[in-house]
Amino acid sequence: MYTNNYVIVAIFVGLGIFLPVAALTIGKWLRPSKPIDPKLTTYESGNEPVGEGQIRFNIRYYLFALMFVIFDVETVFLYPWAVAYKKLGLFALVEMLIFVGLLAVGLLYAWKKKVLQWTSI
Amino acid sequence: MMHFLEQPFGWSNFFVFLLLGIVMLLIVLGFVTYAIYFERKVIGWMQFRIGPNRTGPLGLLQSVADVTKLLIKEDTIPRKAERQLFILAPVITFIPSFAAIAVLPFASNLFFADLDVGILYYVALSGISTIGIVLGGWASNNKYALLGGMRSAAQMISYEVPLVISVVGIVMMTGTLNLRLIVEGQAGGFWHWNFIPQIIGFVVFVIAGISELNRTPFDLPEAESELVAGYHVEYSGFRFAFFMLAEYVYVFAIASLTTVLFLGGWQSPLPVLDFIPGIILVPAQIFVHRLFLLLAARDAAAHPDRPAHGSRLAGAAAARDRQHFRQRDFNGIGGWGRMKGIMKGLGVTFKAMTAKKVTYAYPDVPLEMPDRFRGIQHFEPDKCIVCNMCAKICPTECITLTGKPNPDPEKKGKVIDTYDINFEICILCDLCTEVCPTEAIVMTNNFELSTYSRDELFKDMKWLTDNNENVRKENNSAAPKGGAKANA
Repeated sequence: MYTNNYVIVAIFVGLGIFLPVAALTIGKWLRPSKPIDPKLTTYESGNEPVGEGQIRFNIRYYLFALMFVIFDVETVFLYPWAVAYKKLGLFALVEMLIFVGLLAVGLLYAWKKKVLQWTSI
Repeated sequence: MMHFLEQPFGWSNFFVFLLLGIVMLLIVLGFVTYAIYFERKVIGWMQFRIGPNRTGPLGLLQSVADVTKLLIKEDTIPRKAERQLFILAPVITFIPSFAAIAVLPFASNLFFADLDVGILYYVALSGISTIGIVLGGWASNNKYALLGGMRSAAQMISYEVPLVISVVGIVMMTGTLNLRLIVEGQAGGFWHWNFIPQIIGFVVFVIAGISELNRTPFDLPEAESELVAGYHVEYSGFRFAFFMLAEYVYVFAIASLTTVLFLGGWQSPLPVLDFIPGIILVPAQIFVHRLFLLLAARDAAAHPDRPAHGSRLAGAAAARDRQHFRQRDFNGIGGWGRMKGIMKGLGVTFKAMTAKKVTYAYPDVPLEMPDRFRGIQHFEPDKCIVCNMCAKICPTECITLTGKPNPDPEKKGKVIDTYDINFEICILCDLCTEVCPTEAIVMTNNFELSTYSRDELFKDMKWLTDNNENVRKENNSAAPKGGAKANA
């Protein structure tokens, strides 16, 4: 039965949850806990932490994330096509080339706009 | 395994699966333990060091000791951290790493989940771990950690797509996403393996794979030289251990995946070698691949502090390379020059592996001191004639001795009764041995004197007599050195 495969997956996920929970619980009984003030400060190479840690980060990350989403979706479309590649034949190949080509044009545009350059802003 | 999978689902089957899962978990934990040991050892060899060698025979228990230490180490969570997320992050990183292993086949009849979407399942799960890393970086409320987490995200974004697309060629060739069937399609010798028709995909996959693992030279999220420890800078104890564990489980997974996708899995490289059971081939390949991962990766990180002649050049080249990479950050890998750097470094690494080490296994193997070294004295009572010369010449007056009449009435003179040296004040000046006419007191090459109490620095005759190892061969004693006596 094909369901069995997903039972195994569920078991692996279950074990993956079990190990950290068990290890951290056992660790809780074993390890000492003497929190003092200096221990609980944020680490900043021995200095007093300046300002907040959760600062706003570079807009670049968002641009990269956007690019990533586009191309990740592309791969998601690529896989089913690749599996059935031999059955679909030339027509689907051309279709796929058009799809990839369109994305490549988008990539070229982004390149031209210096989205791929980390220090362009 | 097929047999169990084809049966209808029932509790007995469930327990078989559960047992197999637990066995796999233990195997993976064992692998991680010794992968860490092995890595440390190899890095040691690269740098002309010996590597871990104290805990257990050949240092084999080093990782076990480390894990135990982490388990009983105090766990601190910074006051400013987001507590729930902070606790959750390492768990989120670890779970998918282990769950991803469920689809990896290890032999034609040994596999766990035989999913028809195997590759997609792996890729989907391995992406989740990055969320854990970003979460850990964010929840720590620490600037280093945040930078590390963001870098991890940016790196995953940069290399996930090449990693996934590099496999598409194989999927097109075999027409399936099922990892077991992909291996079945590579039977009949290494020229049927996928890495030959898909050589570009193979190279891209290996490079992107190293990047997915966040290992050097792609260790930007950790970047110990600039971000201290990156995303896990605030983690201690077992929470840190789970980040570490997840990283090494992915090493195992990526090595296995490369084997399965490109290197024929359990199919033997030559038809003649068909008798070798696949269950040996896969781990062997994983091992080889892992070695490559380690060497190629580590060497690019070649620290400029490598202590040797030949490696200077490669170290500098790799350091420059790394700098280059860091500056360009995510603009690209750096192309051929980088590959050349890696190859050059690999050469140095292999050379250094077999070269003589510059470090010593110190307490186990005594240091070889030059013979002129002035070490702790050795005293031979039988030779002493109680002339008191040593005690008289001693500038710090650390030698005290008493004689007694010779017990043999036939002989004249005295024999030594007590002989003490106070090493609290002895300056090992060598004058006592120089002045001794009979070489009763000589120097050794030993120098370990440290003790927990000052009293133990006061050595008596018995101790000095027993201190008879590494005795200096040439003592500047009263032995003739020229002049009239020399010819006598």
